[in-house]
Order: sequence, then structure tokens, then C-alpha cells
Amino acid sequence: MAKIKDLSPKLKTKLKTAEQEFAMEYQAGQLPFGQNLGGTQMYSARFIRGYGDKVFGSSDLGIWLGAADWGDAPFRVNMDGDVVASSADFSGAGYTKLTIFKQDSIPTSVAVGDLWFDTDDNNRMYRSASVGADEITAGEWEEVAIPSVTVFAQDEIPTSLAEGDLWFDTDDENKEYRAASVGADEITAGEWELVSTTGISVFAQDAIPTSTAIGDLWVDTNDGNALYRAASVGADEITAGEWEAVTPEGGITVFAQDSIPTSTAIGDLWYDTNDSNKPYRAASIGADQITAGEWEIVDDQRAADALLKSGSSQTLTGDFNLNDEKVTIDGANNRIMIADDSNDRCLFGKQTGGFP
Amino acid sequence: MADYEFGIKLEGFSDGLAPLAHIDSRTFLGSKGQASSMRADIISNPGFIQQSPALANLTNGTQAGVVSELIRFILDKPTASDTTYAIGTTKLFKLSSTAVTSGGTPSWPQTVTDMTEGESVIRLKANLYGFYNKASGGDILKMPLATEVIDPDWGSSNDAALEDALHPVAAKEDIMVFGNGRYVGVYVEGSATLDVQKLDFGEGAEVVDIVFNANLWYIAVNYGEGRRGQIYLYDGSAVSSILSDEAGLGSQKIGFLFVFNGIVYVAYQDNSSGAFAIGWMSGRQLKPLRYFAGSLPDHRQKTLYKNTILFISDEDIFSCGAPVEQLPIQVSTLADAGYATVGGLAAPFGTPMVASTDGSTNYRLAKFSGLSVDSNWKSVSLDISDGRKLGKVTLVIVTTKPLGASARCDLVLEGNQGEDDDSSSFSITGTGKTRHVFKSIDLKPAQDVRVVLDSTNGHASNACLIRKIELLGNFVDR
Repeated sequence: MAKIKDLSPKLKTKLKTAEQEFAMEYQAGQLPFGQNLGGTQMYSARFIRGYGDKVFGSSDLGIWLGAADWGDAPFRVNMDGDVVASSADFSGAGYTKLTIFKQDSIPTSVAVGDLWFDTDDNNRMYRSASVGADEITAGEWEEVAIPSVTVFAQDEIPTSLAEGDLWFDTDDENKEYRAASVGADEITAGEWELVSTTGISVFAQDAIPTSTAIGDLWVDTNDGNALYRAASVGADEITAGEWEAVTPEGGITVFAQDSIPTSTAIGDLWYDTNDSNKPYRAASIGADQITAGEWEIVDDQRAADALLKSGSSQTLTGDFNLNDEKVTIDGANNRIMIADDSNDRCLFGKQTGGFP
Repeated sequence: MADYEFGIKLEGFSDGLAPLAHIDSRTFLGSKGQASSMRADIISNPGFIQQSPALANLTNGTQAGVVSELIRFILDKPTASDTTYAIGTTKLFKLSSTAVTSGGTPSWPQTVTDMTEGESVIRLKANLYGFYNKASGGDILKMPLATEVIDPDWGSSNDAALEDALHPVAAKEDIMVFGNGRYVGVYVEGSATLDVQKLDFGEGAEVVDIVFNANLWYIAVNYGEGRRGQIYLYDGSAVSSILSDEAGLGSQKIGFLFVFNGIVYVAYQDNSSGAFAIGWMSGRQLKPLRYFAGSLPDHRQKTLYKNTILFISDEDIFSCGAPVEQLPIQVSTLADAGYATVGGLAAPFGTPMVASTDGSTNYRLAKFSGLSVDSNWKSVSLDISDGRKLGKVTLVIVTTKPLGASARCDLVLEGNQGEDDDSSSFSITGTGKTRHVFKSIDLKPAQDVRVVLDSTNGHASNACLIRKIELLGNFVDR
């Protein structure tokens, strides 16, 4: 019997199982898509290690730390070596790039750039020009020239060591001098020259000081800190052209009231309204008493004149009428008239031939 | 002379559609178990042909209930026991495994102010976020799951309005990454930072889908009206503005990405042939797995069912994958999707549910339930000629699982690629029967024959599971 011909459909290639279908075939040189090994991502020229903003990255821009992208990173170095960092601290214990010696004897350098302060020679500073330097000579320990000045504070005139040295004359109010040359030992031009104080002196004391410059200020400490300005050098009195009171900005205050006010500036005025507007002037700031140095009465010279005039002979012209001419001192006729409302009158006086 | 000169054995029906079925519905190329055309279930019990799953509307799941618009996206996982959400054109819906919620406080479904096209919803921690388009532009809504009170313009209030575009979204932990036209947006809930334009893929680009896999975001982007596809990788932390890697797919339009078991699948259209395919990312290479006909599904139309990817193509639900690893990858037309215009597809509670509309007044949200009688399976065309001789099929033997009461499937033979009259219809039925022998085959001698199984007369719950079909015949001089 002939075999039955099998006409069942067939595919030339047997279908793979799903297991076989997804079996990865390694292709030489090809990295897996989005390869990320232990937080390391590699994408074209960009390399990232970490996750989110906590990464170390590198790309054609440079290297960076602390942000997903270069531009946001708090620390980054570009290809030109420019560094951007939030802060830097070089105090780490392992930072031993340079050795600094501070001793009498010559040390042996361990690196170029080491520093040595010679403690028995005014801490003169040397820099090593080579590793193993143990002599003060070119190429080994070389002195570092420090453009420094010496500051003298003494009575006698010192000898300057360098131009620019300073001397404070301790027995002359610490006057300051500057050396204009090396070896200066006299107070003269080109040697020790007085340093001109461009400012003014401010005195704060009880006694009247002697001004040293126009514009000096004196705060009178026992007079409510009243402020004075020197109008001349050598001023030693409170008077015009010497120490002149400074009126505070804003002027003085004029008080017109019953009670004693408190002054706000020297020169303030107070008219005592329940005492015939008697005037007072503040002699100090904060004055609240009628007393010397505080509210001081201002003399009315006209009243004084009047009093003076009352004690001496005076000539008056015209009648002296009292109470609407009911009493009249009539000098021209040498009489005093006392009259009632109509015609009754009394006359006192001297009249040759009697009164009319 | 032998009783029969030729024999054909069809079996191993887990192979799905034939390799060229998307090009020729009467293709000759295929295996014993492959179909030239089908709408049947070959994944529930691999090796057997079974009727497609039927669709049953969810309670309130039609316009007679509360579904009076096309549900465009269904959240593919529950937010609580037996609870998930879906978004339509103007409303946000709340779903259980059996019903669309109606009423309550707040009253469901909820209208989203100014929404004209829901795109996607996602759960991120204690909130639900919805992405949608408006008459102009788009926005993101936020809804705390505890209160279910919608803030419709959360996105524009916290950053800016969206583009009027596809808005695929994926989330992991407290990060969600979403498509926004040419841009990718990122929201990090931990820092409450929303940037709707975190990445810019340039003019003419459209982000069509996003998934998360292997600590990286996979971003699918189409360029130039879909003439070129590209897949980018983006760091999982989503803080950088620089991508991690990329793979160019060439002239392929991407429909969706799907992650399953560490493999990233891609649904795409091959622009050179017009065919649609499911492939997978192997390194920087997209390897096609199986091709299919119809249309390109998008990010709203994919889910996982019986270890295979379900997706929409035209009006059908397709399956692609292998129910078990020891079987080949298959692509098959699994079931009808409902009405002609299909919306979202998902299986948040395990059983797939699909939304559709007839484009007029009818809408539905339905899920797989029982067996459909709108099911068929058609073998590849089988050459039964031998030189000048034609083949005459004289005996057909069908092997089945023991059939339940009223279980039935009808078999017809088509000759000469449908040009000749079909054979009579033979009923595969009979309670308890496993072997069905048909002798009086009235198909005329032909060059080729195709076996057609039709379940129009099948049963809604008792399946007719077919394991093997044998044709026997003789050559006839013509």
C-alpha cells in the first residue's frame, strides 16, 4: 500500500519558542541599551556615576559633582581647568605639600617652596629653592625679602632701618614721624618727618583745652557735654574766635510755659509764662533747674536802666496824669492838681500871687 | 490504490495567525496550527481553538446608564479593592469590576471643566492625576483619592497648560513622567515640582508613550508625522535635562510601549510596507516579533492578559505573546471590541474591559464574559494538487475536547481560494463526543482548500474546543 502523501502545511523554519526568541545574542562591541552598571551610565561622551543629583559626572564640558547636569553642579572643573566650587577647606590633616620650619639652625628642606623662619635672627624668612637644601645660598635656602617697616615707640630719636619706618615720640604726646630715608636720626626733612594729621583733635574733658588746629572739637564733660569748636589754633577760652559753642543742627528750642522745661541744646530759651515771661537761657543740654550751668536768667538791660534811672534826677516833659487826669503833676506850672468829676479840685504848689 | 492518497493534519493551534496573514487573508504560508484569518481564543487553552470571549456590559456601562460618551482611557490597575477610574471625553468615571459607579458623593461620573478629550489617568501616592485636552491646549487634573474632589486645572496652576496632544503617563514611587506633545513633563511629588516641559524633543516631535523599566524611563517619540520613530532612555530620577541613551528605529511609527517581565515591547507601523507589528527592544535594535493587520494602537489601548499583550486594531482585540515560554510567540485576533470606534482597553481587575461607540448615540464599557458566537478560525490555504491532478477531499476528522451540551462549531471547506462553491457545513457537536468524522464531503476537486470553522451556532458557555483537524482525499485527473 502506497504511503499517504502528507500535504500538511509547514514553515521552512520551525517557530522558536518564546524562551528562544528572547535569548540575547551578544554582539561584539555593542553595549546593552541604556547600560547602567552599579549606577554608572554611559551615553556618548557623557559618563555619570550615581543617581539623581548625587552623581559624579564627566562629559566634553568637564567633570562635576553634586548635580545631574554640569550647569547645576556645585563643584565643576571645565576643560580649561577653571574650577567652580561652593567652598574649599585646605585644613585637612593630610595636606603636607609644604613644610614650614621655625627654628634656630638651618633645616633640610623636603620640598621646593618649604619655608624657614630663623628664630634667632628676627624670624628672617627663607624659601627652599631645592629639595634637601641645608645652606643659606642661592639654589638652596634663599632669603625672602619682605618689604616691611620697623615701628619705634621711644623717647629718643631712633635711627631708621628702612624708608617708611615709623616713630612714635613717647615723651611728646606720641607724635608720629616717618622715616624718609634709611639711617634717619634727625627730625628734619628727608629724615624723620612729622606725619601730618589730616584730621582734627577731639577733646572730651572738664577743663578748657588748648586747640591744636582749627576745627578741633571739645565736648565739655561737666557741662552737659556741650560742644565747642576751635576757631583758631591755641584757643583756650570760650569766646568768639577761640572756642565757640556749636549750635546743634536744627537750632535751639524756645519754650513758653509755666513749668521748668528740659533743654535740648545749649542756648535754648524759656519764657516763664507765670512769672512775667521772665526769660532764661539753657547753659547746658538737659537743664531742668534754674541754676547756674542750667537755666540761667537772661538780664533785661532795659529794666536795669529803669532802676538806675529811678535813683537819679530825671527830667520829664509834659503832664504826668494818673487815673484819667484826676491827678496831674503839672511841671510846667509847678503844681499838682487833684480834681473830682466836675470842678472840685485841690491844688498843691507854689504860685506867686496865688493859684488861679 | 490506497484508500486515501493524501492527508493533511492541522493541529497545534497556539501558533496564531500565519506570518503573512496581514498581507494575504488566504495565505499559503504557515504552520499546521496557523490561521490565515481568525477571531478566536487560542491562548486560554493553548493548542485548542476556542470561541472568542464575549463582551458583557458593566452595570451602568451604556448610555442607558452613565456611559454617555466614549471612555478613552481606563486605569490599568486598581486604586483600592475593586476600584479604579477611567476618563472619557468630558467626564471622569469610577469603576468596579462589575459596574460603572453612578451617583454618590461626589456624584459619579464627574464632569471635568473644559475637558474635551481625556487622555490618561494615573495614581501617584494618595492622588489621582488626569491628563486631558481642551478646545485649546490641555491641562492636568488632580483628585485626592480620599475626597474624590477634582481640581481640574491643577497642572496649569502649578506650572503651565499642556499642549493639545497625546498625553501618555507612567509613574514610579513619587515621580510621574508624561508626554506633552514635543515635550516630556515631570512631576516629583516629594518636592512638589511640576515641569510640563522638562525635555524638549523639538519641532515636529510627538511623545507617544512612556514606560519605566530597569531604572530608566523609556520615551517613544515620533517625528515628522510618524515617518520616523525614536526611543530615548531617561534617568530614573528624572532630574537631569539630558537623556541617558537612544535608539533610532528608522522609518517606523510607534504606537505604544509595553513592559512585561523586563522586556520592552513596541507596537509600531512599518512605514515601508504599511504593516503593523509588535517587536521588542534588543539592545538598540527593534526586533519584530509578529505582524498584524488593521490599525496602529496607541498608549490607551494595551493591557496584559494570560501572559500576552492585548491591544486594539481596528474593531478587534488582538493578543500577542506566548501563554507559556515553551510555546512560540503568537499574534491572534482574540475578540470583537464592541462598537466600531474603540476607546480604552485595560484589565485592572484581571478580566479585560473595553470601551467603544458606534459613533452615534451608543456607547458601552464591557468586559470579557462567557463565549462569543461571533467567532471563527480559517486555516492557511492548503495546496492539494499534484501536477495535473486536483485534490478531492473525501474525509474530515475533527478531534475535540469532550463537548458540553449544545456546544457546537460548524466546519466548511473552501476550494480554490473561495472561487468555487464551498462545501456543505458540518456540525461539530454532540454531548460528550471527542471525535467527529465527516465522510460525505461535497467540495469539488480543487487545487487548494481552506478549512473554516464558524461558531455562529455555538453555545454561550459550553465551548467547542478543537484540538486537531484531519483531511483525507485522493488526486483526481482534470
